[in-house]
Amino acid sequence: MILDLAHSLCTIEVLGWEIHVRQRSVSANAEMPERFRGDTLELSHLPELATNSRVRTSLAWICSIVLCSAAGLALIAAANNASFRGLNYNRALILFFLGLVFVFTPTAIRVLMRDVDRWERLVLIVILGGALYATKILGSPNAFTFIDEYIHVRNTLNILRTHHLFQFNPLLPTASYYPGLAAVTAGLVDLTGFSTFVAGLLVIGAARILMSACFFLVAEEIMGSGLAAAAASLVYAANPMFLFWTASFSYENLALPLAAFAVWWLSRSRDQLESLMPIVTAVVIVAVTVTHHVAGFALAILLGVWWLAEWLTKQPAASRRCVGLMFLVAGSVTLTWFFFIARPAASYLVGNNIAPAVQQTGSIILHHGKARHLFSGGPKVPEWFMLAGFTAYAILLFALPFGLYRAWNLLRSRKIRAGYGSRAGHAAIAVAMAMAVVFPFSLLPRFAPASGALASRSSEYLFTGLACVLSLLAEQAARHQHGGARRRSMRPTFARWCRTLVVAGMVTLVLLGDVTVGTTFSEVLRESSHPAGDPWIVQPDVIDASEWARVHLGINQHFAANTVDSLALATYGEQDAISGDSVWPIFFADAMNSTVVHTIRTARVSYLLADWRMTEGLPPISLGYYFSPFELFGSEWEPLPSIALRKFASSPCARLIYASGPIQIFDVVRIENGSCVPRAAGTVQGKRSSS
Amino acid sequence: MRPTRSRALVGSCVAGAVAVAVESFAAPPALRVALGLMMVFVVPGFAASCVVTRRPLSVGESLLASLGTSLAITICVSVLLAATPVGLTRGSLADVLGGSTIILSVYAWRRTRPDRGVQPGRESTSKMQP
Repeated sequence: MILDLAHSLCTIEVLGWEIHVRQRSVSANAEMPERFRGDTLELSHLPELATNSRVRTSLAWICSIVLCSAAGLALIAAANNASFRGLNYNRALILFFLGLVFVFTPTAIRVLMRDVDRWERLVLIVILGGALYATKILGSPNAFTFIDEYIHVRNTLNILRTHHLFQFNPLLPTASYYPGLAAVTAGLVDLTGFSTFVAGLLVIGAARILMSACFFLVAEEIMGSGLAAAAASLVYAANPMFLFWTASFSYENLALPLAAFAVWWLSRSRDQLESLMPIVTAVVIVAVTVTHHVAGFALAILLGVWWLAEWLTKQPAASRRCVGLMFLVAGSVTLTWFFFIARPAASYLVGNNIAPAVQQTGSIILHHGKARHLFSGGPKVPEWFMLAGFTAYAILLFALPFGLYRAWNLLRSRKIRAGYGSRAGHAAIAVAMAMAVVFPFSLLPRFAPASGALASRSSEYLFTGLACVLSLLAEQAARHQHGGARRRSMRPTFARWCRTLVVAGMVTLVLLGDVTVGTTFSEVLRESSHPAGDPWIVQPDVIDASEWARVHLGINQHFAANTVDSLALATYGEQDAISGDSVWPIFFADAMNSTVVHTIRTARVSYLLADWRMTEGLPPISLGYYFSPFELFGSEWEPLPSIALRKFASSPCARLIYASGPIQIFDVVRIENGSCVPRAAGTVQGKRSSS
Repeated sequence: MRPTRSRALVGSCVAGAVAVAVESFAAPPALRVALGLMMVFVVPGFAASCVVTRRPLSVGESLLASLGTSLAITICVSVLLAATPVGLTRGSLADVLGGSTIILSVYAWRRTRPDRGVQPGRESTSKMQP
């Protein structure tokens, strides 16, 4: 009974929408030149809406897709389990990709079909977002494992401990000036009693739902078609960062969904400046600003371009004023926070990230630098893995001109219609086109040695526009299903299924390929419980050592350790792990020479954590180093020599205070304060003689 | 005003009041979890969206608006509390979120009462809303 009632309500809403849109389309078309009538945006609704008597939310489809997703997640869990147990990684990876196909493809097929209710599409897109989020959790079921996640765990712990903001974060000082994620997670921990891990998962899970739903609704608003919006959501979900990075406990992954929500809410309320609705938009803008720098700027720029486009296209004054006001709010709040509160952010963003990436990319374009080999570094990557990545980008780049052409036609038709009194906006599609045009150029930094992060991270933003443009092709394919009367009478069902399957298959290929592009080969699945060589995630024995340090040494001690172990020290141990850039010489010298002593004193190192696994294997592939990208490693690519760690035990100035398995902690306070000088320091013997 | 919305507003008001009250005594963990989740993800945003929109949203849109607005409100409130000498604690957050939820719920309820004479023609409309 309840289901029937919900069903009928849903149908009424859809029918109501149909009437609204149809009336608008017809009135606008009436005065339009003949050659533009068939190309208007609103006509793209018609494949769905013309058959609205058949448009129903199918509970059977939804249940079937949920079951398929569950089966896919079971396969992914099995693959992760196999990898964790140290079984054949390549086979486990194939199982993982098969699971992804089970999760993604059924949803893609259903949402790309005609005659599907918009709410069903929306629900399925949200379910897909949740299932892909669960994929990430299955890879790290017990704790956060990504490097950036530790940064925000430390921020959260700082707030929980001190109840205040802007405490020093040794892993990334800038992050403590954008406390939105940490504050809301700490609040949830306070209110519910959950652990930081569970609270973080819930916050990012909520953000994932928000992102999936808002992206669909905004895309629907832009393109005026539920089918196109669903296709856009699928393409966006296929971006290289969506599966793992966007699901991680990181500030950007909360800010970006909030920005999407702000855009959706503003698109609903932009005609109502006199109402209270813009207040909500302003609150959300402030929340984005205090959560992430780039997302704040991106939102401000988007609102600015939106306002400009509305102004150029002579949209109603109330709408323009509302968007303009929100642009002013976003711009002023973001700039104020960036320059007056988050002061270290400028040097971090520009000096450490953007400028080097642009410089390196420019060098490669001008043939002054050597381009990086894609998929290089570490063990040999299977050919099929590389092929999947190249295929994904080949599909995207091949489809892009056709999508742009389709978008251009749409833009032109909207412009014509605007001249005939239609209020259909065409500013948004122009913005989407601009972002899509930038996409191929955003791939260039991937060839620079240290600019891959810029290319990867920019995809989260550029795929919004790219997805909208490419979705027009999917929508066009569905529209062509109508065909002529003769074709309809011949094999309509077969043709319809073929087109839908082809489009769904292409998007699935893009998803699978982008997983290989966005994630290092050896890090797609869980790390083995007994990793060979230096691990890329924090190991339990390091966590034990960190907790021991917190209990026995107190918090905020100055530690030197490799990058991965520093994460555990900074979070589980709440220690001030010193940046690897400052301390790497301590670990690379063969003896306690003057360089080691000088580095310990200048970096004010009190304790050293020596992880003997560094001597058994190469550094993690995703990092490419143990401590710092600046570390000197000679000409050969080999593990750290054991003599580099043996020197601590043999020095009378370094006191071993903890030893468990491969982990040792040395107290070097006496070296740091100058009360003890190692014998080798300042002697010839200290300069590599011990080797 | 639709009875469903009215009841939901009363419910959010009660949730806000309970959240404030529970802070002062040791509540069962299950109640604490339920209230905490509601206060962070649903209730403040629902009350706020009811204040700013006179015409009820559809169920899906209302859920989305509640989630997004609640998250934004919680972020702003948490950052604000942590930046002040009061500090971000369980008590301060529960008080501010619960208190603001009560105020917003009451205001929304009063604002959208039928006897306030809201003109149907002046209700908010949306292109998304049929």
